[in-house]
Amino acid sequence: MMLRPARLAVMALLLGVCAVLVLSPLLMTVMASFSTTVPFSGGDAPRFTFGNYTALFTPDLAAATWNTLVVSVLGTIIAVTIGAILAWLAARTDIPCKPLVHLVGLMPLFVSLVVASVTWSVLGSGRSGYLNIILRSLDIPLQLEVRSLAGITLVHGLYYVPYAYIMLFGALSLVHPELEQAASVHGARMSKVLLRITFPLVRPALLGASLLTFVAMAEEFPVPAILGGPVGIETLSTRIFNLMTRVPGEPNQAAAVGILLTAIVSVLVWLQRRLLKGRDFRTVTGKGMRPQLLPLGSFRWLALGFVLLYAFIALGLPIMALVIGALRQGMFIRDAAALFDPAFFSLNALRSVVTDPHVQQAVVNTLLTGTAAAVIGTTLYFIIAYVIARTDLPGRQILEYMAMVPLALPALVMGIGVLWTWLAIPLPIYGTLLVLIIAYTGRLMPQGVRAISASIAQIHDDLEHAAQVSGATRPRAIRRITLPLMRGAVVSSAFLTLILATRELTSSLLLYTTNTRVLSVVIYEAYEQGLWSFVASISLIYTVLLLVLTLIGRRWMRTAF
Amino acid sequence: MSINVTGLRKAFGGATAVAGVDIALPNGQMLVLLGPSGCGKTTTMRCIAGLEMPDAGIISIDGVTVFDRAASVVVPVHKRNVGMVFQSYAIWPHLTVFQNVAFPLEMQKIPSADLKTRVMEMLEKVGLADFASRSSSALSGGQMQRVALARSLVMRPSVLLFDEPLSNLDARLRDRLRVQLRELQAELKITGIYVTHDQQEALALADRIMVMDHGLVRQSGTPVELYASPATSAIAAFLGYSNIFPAEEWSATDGGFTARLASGRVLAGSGETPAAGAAAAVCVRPEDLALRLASPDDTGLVGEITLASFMGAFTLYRVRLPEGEIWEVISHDVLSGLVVGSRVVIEARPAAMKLLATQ
Ligand SMILES: Nc1ncnc2c1ncn2[C@@H]1O[C@H](COP(=O)(O)OP(=O)(O)OP(=O)(O)O)[C@@H](O)[C@H]1O
Ligand SMILES: [Mg+2]
Repeated sequence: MMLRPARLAVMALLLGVCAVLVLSPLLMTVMASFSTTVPFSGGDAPRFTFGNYTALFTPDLAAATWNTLVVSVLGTIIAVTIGAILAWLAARTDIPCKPLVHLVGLMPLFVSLVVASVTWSVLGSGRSGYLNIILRSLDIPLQLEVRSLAGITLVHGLYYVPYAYIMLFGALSLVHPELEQAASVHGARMSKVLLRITFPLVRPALLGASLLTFVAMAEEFPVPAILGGPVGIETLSTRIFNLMTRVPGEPNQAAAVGILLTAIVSVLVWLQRRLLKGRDFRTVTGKGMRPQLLPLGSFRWLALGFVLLYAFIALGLPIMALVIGALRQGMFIRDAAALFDPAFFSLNALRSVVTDPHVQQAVVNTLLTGTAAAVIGTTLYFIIAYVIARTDLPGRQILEYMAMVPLALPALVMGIGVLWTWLAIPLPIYGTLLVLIIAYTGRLMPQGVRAISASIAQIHDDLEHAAQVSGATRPRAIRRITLPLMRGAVVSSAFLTLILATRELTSSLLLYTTNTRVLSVVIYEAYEQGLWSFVASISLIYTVLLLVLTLIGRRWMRTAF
Repeated sequence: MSINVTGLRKAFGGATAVAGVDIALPNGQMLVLLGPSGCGKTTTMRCIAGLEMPDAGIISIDGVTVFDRAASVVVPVHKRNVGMVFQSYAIWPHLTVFQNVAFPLEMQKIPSADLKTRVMEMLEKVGLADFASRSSSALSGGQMQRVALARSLVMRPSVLLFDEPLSNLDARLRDRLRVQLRELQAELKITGIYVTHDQQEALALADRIMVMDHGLVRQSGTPVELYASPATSAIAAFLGYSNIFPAEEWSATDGGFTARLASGRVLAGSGETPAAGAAAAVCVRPEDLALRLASPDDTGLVGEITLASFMGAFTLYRVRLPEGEIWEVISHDVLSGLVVGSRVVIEARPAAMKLLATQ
């Protein structure tokens, strides 16, 4: 127990840190959206205005809103459908190779969307798209064009599967098998049981997953930027980015669009949280009955075929494209045979990428920022979660709300807000890697705090009290008892933070400077310049890096799912 | 090694948990807190341990003030040298039995040779010496309870607090550990506070009993005092008075009382009476009653046995009277031949009937 001044100081410090990390970016953006100038930028005195909002009513913005809606709604339908099927197969059926199904359901979470989009644009756009070459060689009169709304939707749909998978896997594991068996006894076929009993029972999770997926897609930046940018398709987030970066820039209008997007996202996040109130499916799994598995009979292999097909499209094809792109010399490809002809393969591109000092720098930067965000972030998330769950410090509630703010902040708004915050604060932070670390730490706060809170809640507080009664101070009791007991959850949260920070593009793109480029930024820029073999080589390295991190972390992360 | 608490108060938000509790416990004595769920027993103990910050009051252990709101004295938990056995045991699952028990000594920076002897000595005492290197997550309930006890005792605490330490165990184990606990307490001259719901446990362990309700102390005294003369019928209910009949009206007589029950029956007894006009109930212990077969011309408490439960040393009977009251009677004459359905007369001495205020 601490005395009053010490308690207040601890709380003030935490609130201050959160305010700088997550609140200030939001406030900066709000301010800029009502102003004629960028906050605290020196220059002209800022004047209050609604002009940025009235300037929103243009056909361009209407089109961007419409596009956002289309790619998010359709993408959500695809992703949730695939995710639900995978989750049902993994949780409730006797499908063969179950660990593989589980892996397939989670793996896309660790694929960089920058790499995915870039690769798909090479696979399926224009005459030189790999898939189009193959289709022509097979005399199939069909050509793909992923640089389109349909393409953006497809990539969204393929790579946002894990969100739905994780939530539905948890919910489906908890459905008591007797509920289904009762329906069978009363004469329902398997398909009827599924439609009338199983999925209605997990409807809250289904809706929650859909909203979450929709939100993530609505604020998604790399996919529409890479696939829509070259053909002039804008979504709300690419519009914000274009307004920010074109010359002359319109930062205040960008802020207004950002606030609009934030408002939309906030409403949806609020809806989602209301829907799932008191149901954290992930923390309940593992308790209770062992679900009885449904025998699929002869459909077992068909089901596995579906899983493998999805894995091939989402993971196999892109990796093949990356390998070919990295190894193959010369841009012109006549036909499918030439595409796979080893005569054209060489390691030159890979070698030059590996020895390129800029790339080396970017690898170092990526690992450095990712690791720092993981260490600093997880420490901070632990402290916040601990204070919320285990102390009676005044202001805990406020802290809890603050930690959840980034849920409603689109990555672009976060990026802009962090940029303006650290341009305004007179510390030499902007232009260093620190500003990237700060952005990642803030952005990943909600999931980190939530994961750690869930695990603190599972440890009886008497365990810590017993240590204090035995003569340990509170910090010592935490270090000797609470932390060791939570090691799994803390390590898994740190790894997830590391991987998500490592695959981040959106806010990095607004915050990097010459010496602080990270891999995702390098790939994005090289793609803009059309350097495909360079992009493929570096993407391959990046993907292998993410893969290795994921595999190292998998041992611990299993507890998180 | 004594505990003194005066005017202890604690509220959570608007809800008062402890509303002014005083405790004076001399060295080597065991105080049992008894009372209904939610009456503030745990909160009182946690305030003494330092796990909860009281709103008001003074707490001193061994004559040293560890908490005094008015004087801004707050000794933190880890410096109070108080042992505590938690209801959940709070055995650290990632440490072995030895490491669990050694933890308090490590905190006191005891040199390792000394530490080892003291831990092993203590494990010996609670009968767990062979389990020292076992992982503590694989222990049975009774073993965990003993590890928790050893962990609290090894630090030689000034006082030891027990929060329903036996409530998670089955009845036989509970009986055995209760005896062990009493022996240890006497041997080591522990000053302790013990919380329980179980009157048997309370009477067996206590030097003093304190009955609490709604955050206040309703009565305190030695087990014998409380058992012989509970202050209210609510307290009597806690101490094994299983026959409690609210009086519709009552009046004091010379050296006793007469009371009319809801059923119309009139009971008379001796002894003190509550203040005139107070709501009261007639309270009788089942062991103060006796049964015999009724003859046709018997009057008084005549009824039929509806349950006979043989407990070994005695038999518990339940007798239903025609007016609907149900009486419990304990008979040590196990060969009396009374069976379910027998018509019996309940015999009571006037002194067995007590008239107690309901509040
Ligand atoms: N941390 C807390 N926050 C809010 N109210 C609390 C808290 N701890 C206890 N209370 C309340 O204070 C009152 C007393 O609780 P306490 O735990 O002391 O009861 P108890 O006598 O130990 O009960 P039991 O026999 O059920 O363990 C209860 O009404 C309880 O709900
Ligand atoms: Mg209690």
